[in-house]
Amino acid sequence: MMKKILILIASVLLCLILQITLIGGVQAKGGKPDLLLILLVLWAWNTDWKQGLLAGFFIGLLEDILFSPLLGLNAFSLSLTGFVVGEVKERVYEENVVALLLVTAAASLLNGIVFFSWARIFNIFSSFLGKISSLTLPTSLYNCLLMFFIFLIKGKFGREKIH
Amino acid sequence: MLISNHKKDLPARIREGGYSFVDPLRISFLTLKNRLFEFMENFQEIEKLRSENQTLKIKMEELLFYQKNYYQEIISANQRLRELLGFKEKQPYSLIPVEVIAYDPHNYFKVIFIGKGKKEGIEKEMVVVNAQGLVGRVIEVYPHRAKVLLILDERSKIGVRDQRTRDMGILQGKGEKGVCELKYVLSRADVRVGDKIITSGLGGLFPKGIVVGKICAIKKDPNQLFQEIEVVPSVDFGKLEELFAIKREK
Repeated sequence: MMKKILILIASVLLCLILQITLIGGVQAKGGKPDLLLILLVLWAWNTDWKQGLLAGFFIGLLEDILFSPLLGLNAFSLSLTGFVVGEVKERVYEENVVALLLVTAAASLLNGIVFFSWARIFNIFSSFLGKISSLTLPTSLYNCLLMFFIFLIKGKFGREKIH
Repeated sequence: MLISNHKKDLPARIREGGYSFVDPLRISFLTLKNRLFEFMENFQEIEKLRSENQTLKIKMEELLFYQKNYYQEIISANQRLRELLGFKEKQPYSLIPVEVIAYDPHNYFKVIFIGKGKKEGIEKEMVVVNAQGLVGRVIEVYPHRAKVLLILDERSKIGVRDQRTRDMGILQGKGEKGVCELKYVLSRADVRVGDKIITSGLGGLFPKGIVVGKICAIKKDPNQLFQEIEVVPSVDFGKLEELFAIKREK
């Protein structure tokens, strides 16, 4: 259990550093790939809903502390996302790439919708639909593409390990 | 005497004939021998030459790399620093040089982190600029870093004026679109596309006269009190590196 927690912390820190230095520096007009969300989806997909929820809360709280103007925005949306991914995983075949990609897309959308709903309620952003179309949808697409490559790499190494 | 002389000349002629016959062979042999020795020497030197060639190739690659990357980077950094120095000399404010160390992980909020904080003299609400113009303002300060709200963020509101007509308005970010909205400019104001927008200095937060951007689109409706104006910032937010925080004089 301790080993798992350490692996999660190390992965979160690595993704966070990559996100704020490498991906964060890209001044794209649309969204950006969200490494922390991808990590959360992979974590929840490979464990269960409880760990997905806890990992989502931990990652979200970290993002809130570091970047969000309001504590709890990311913590809530990512906890919910982690929980939903962990729940869905129980009902589908885990090794199916299409299921994983659909879950990634749905998780990105869910996270965006929950986040921007709260942000709109607290009057942080002016337009909810504008943010969903200009930020959440491209982010969801980028996340799916990245997840597909991760799945391919994982499959390749997995096969090599078997042989 | 004549006969003896004639007889004496014969052996010389025969020798001469012999030489002239042998010489080409000798020369050919010598040439062959030299070539053979040269070949042997070359053969012996191949290893040496190969390693020398390899060293030179590596050296050339290294120089090419420096030429393509490092030297270009030095040249562009030099140009940038010259611009900054020029900018610093032009500014009547006290400036603290800062560097961008991190960006917001998503595109949700337009914020950056700078590598200096409270201990280096950075304070909340300090204005951040670069050679191109206004970048934003410090919203959170930590011991060795600070968070800067860019003028593109929706939460950013700045008092500005048109440099040509002196009409005033409020500049607000439009988030991910990369432009800002100029609000509260009356419909009768004669602002035009291309007009330069500068800070008005009203409110006391932003110093007066800092370049913010240019008007890129205007939508006028005679039935509306205010015009809808879009401003493209003068700062290229995709290439933020060295910045300055403006220190307020006390």
